[in-house]
Amino acid sequence: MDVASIIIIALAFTFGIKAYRKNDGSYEAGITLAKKQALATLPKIVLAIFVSGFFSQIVPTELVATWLGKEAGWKGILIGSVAGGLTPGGPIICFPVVYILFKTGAAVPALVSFLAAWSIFAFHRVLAYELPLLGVRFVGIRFASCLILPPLSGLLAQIIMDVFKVEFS
Amino acid sequence: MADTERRSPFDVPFFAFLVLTLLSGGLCYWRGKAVFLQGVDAAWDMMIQVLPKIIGALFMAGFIQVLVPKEVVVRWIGGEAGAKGIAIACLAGIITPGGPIMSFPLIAALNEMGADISALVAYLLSWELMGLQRILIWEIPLMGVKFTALRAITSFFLPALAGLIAQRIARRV
Repeated sequence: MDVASIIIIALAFTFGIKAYRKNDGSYEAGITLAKKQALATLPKIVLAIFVSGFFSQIVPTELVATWLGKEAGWKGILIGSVAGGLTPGGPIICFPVVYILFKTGAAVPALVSFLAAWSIFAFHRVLAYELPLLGVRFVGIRFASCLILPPLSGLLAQIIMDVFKVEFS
Repeated sequence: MADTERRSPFDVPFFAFLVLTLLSGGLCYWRGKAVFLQGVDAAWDMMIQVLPKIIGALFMAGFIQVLVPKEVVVRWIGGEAGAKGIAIACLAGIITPGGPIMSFPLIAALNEMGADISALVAYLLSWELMGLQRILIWEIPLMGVKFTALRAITSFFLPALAGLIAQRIARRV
């Protein structure tokens, strides 16, 4: 098992013990929440992993490299920003997509922009939650304040990678 | 993540994924048995890498959700305005557990209480970009620590920036 797994599992135990010590049903409530969530997501995660595995074999890598690869440069960052904003669905859809793009030659800054845009503009969330609960004025102001953030984060990633010579194999 | 209604694991998205699995698997098989087996291999590698982390993270998220009640977050953000309010909002967004079902009603409640829009935008962005739960359940397992660290560093100050911009815009409209 790798370090990240060990840390996550250790943290789960730490919080579990903390909840258990409270002795007020917190522990049981936490377990119930986790089980419910696991039941709801794990079957889909397993399938999503298979989809990723298969797609990683058939996605045309030249296409990914041209549009989102290192050669694409700032254009890759812009394309990533737009594509991420248009990607519907929750993390169970987005992360496998990003994973496949990563494995098939997309550059990291473009993916950073992709994830930022998806996180910020996910339109399913805007339609289902933000508009009904917060109204048009809030959504308008928020969108206007966030427009430049996805390309900005990709650009920053590029700068950090250049300055500190960070490589992703 | 905090959905309280009972949901069957075999819902519409499940069947959508099932269809996608069969389609992509079939497409691989059509390209040749070796391609199909390579796909299964890739999936298996990913599974071993990802599942222990996701399961650990799900339990951690369950406990955090119980240990950090909604009221605490509301008290935090509702009380402060200006730069301090934005800073607190950023912090609160990181630790707010749960999916949109948790965060949006909270923001709506704060909005009705008259909280500053800069703090609300910063909070929402921080939850979206830096939310620990998503990072732990999805990003680290799938993308690895190095990628996650780089992305988190580049996104760290964006919520505060958005909050400041929102403040400027809100004064004019």
